[in-house]
Amino acid sequence: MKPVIIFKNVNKYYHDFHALKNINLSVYEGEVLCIIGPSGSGKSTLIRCINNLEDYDNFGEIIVNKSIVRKDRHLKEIRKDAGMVFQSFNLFPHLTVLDNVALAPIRVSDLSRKKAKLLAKSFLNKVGVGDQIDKFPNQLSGGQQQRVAIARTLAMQPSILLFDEPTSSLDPEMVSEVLDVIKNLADTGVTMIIVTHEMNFARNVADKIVFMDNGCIIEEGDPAQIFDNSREKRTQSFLNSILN
Amino acid sequence: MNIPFNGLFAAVQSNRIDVAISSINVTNKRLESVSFTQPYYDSDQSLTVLSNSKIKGLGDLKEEIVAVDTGSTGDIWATNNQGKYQFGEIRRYEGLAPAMLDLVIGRTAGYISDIPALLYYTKDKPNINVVEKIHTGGKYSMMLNKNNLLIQSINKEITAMKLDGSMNELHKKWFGQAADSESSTISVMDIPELSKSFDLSLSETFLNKRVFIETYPMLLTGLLVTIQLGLMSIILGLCWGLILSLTGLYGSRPLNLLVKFYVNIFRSIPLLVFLVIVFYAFPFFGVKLSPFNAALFSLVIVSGAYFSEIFRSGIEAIPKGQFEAAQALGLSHYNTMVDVVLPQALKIVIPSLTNNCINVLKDTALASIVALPDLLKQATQAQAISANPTPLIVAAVIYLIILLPMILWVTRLENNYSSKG
Repeated sequence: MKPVIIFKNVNKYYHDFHALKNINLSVYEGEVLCIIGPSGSGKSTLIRCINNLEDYDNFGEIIVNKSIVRKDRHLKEIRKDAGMVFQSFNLFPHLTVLDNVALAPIRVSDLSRKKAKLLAKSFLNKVGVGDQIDKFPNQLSGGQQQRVAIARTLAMQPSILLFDEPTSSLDPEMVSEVLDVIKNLADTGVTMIIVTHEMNFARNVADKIVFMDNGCIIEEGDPAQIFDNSREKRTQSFLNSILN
Repeated sequence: MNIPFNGLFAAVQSNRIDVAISSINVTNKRLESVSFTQPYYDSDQSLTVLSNSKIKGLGDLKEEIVAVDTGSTGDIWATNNQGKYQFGEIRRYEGLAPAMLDLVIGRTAGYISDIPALLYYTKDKPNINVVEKIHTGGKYSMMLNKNNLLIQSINKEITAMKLDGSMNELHKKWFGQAADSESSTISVMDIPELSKSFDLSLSETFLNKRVFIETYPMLLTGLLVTIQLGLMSIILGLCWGLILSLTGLYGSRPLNLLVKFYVNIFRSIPLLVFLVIVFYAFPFFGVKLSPFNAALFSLVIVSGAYFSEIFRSGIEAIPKGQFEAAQALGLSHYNTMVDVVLPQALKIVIPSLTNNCINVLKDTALASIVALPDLLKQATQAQAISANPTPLIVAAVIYLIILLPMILWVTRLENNYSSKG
């Protein structure tokens, strides 16, 4: 297996605050990686560096599919390869569900409107909201909105999917419908990085778990090792506080 | 009280002043609306040009721009004789000072106005000459409202001044010579009256059907100019404002500061002041704009500053997540703005934009001070010629008809927005 995302000595500062501390990490093709850890530990910052929504310090390096992630260099290709789903959905409120999904294929992949809409419909069907295509986002439930957002990301047919706390804004009864969609995607062989607080889900779906605290990667390993046989005190206390 | 010439008629008719003493010619049209004492001065018109001009008389004014005072006898004469002398355009000014400024700048070829005022004005100015006297048989008189009883006593006083020679003394003092013995300065005359008697009620004064029918074609041409200027100013102002706001938000740091500076400057400077600078000061730097272009330029430059602030507030109201979602999908900066941000931002600021458009439309009226024949200008001219305020009232109604629906629409939009929260 070859690594598709490589972090080499990555650091990030917000003014004086050291948000990412010397991160080294490799994600392999087809791997499902879940990042867990307390709030403010740098999980979202790390994932947002991959598609350059956040910049990072110059002496480190993030490589996505052999391209170095830097402002204005290969960004278009990297963002085509690595799609992102946000905590707050960020659907475009002035566009219908169908147009939300079809916009990027038309504008970025230069598909005709007709082809883009066909493509959009197929992905909306896949995530189970194919009957809502003419509605506007604010007419949908949170779970439906997040599934539309997933379809919007899938429509660019990326080889990497980044999920930034995809269920944290949802009412509890809608969490499972979104997690089911993500789980189905995990089974298709696409590379995924998921920042999540859903421990059972992470345990079920992940090939590898990364535990972060205070801007550092404390521990990484397969789910059984992290959840049942953690070597690190901080991982253990975090899991104890969450699971009990 | 010091009132501009074309405001005298309304001032007399509304009884704000009792008597108007100015270079007011007695005309039949004016007698239908106001009263005059016996005349006290024979006035003719004159053509004034620059000393170094190739124009030596009325015959040289073919295709040239001629200046007059709005609604004056010179205006009436020039309008009636435009065909005969083939004037290219008659440009109407609010008095001698701005008309002279434009003559000196070279925007107009000649200035037609009352001969005594111009002889006096050009006496010590070698660069300006009165080159032709235009005989109109005009006579100056004092103007009062109809039925103002003061007229008899004032008229008696004028008779006395003519008889004891003090009127002639005044003539000698100001013009350096005695008045002609046949002239109205010496000979006692009757109070001028119309053969047919007109007695106007209040409603006939302020909404006179005859005056309306006579002047509405003038008002319509003015309305056309107002709409043309308003629409062009709004369209160009919107484009300029959008460019400014995007430069201010996403340009390099020096550009940001420049835009901020621009916006603050032009929101502080009164449009009228800027317009006067553009029209009367720019020519000294070699930029000579026509009245329409000067007004358009000023309106776009100033309204662009306001539009820019409106666009900026709209764009800044769009959540960061919208930009991030667009970027994460790989949309270019251009598509992020055009497809995602601007449609949402525009929707938010439609009420503010419409309000600003209304302001621009109203501000077009300021252009009448640079002699642009817009609705207001045409209305003031019409009311001076007919000595009746009806055209002004009609102009006000036209402004209302255009702007009131827009105001109501904005109010409804704003209510909708606030009820949605």
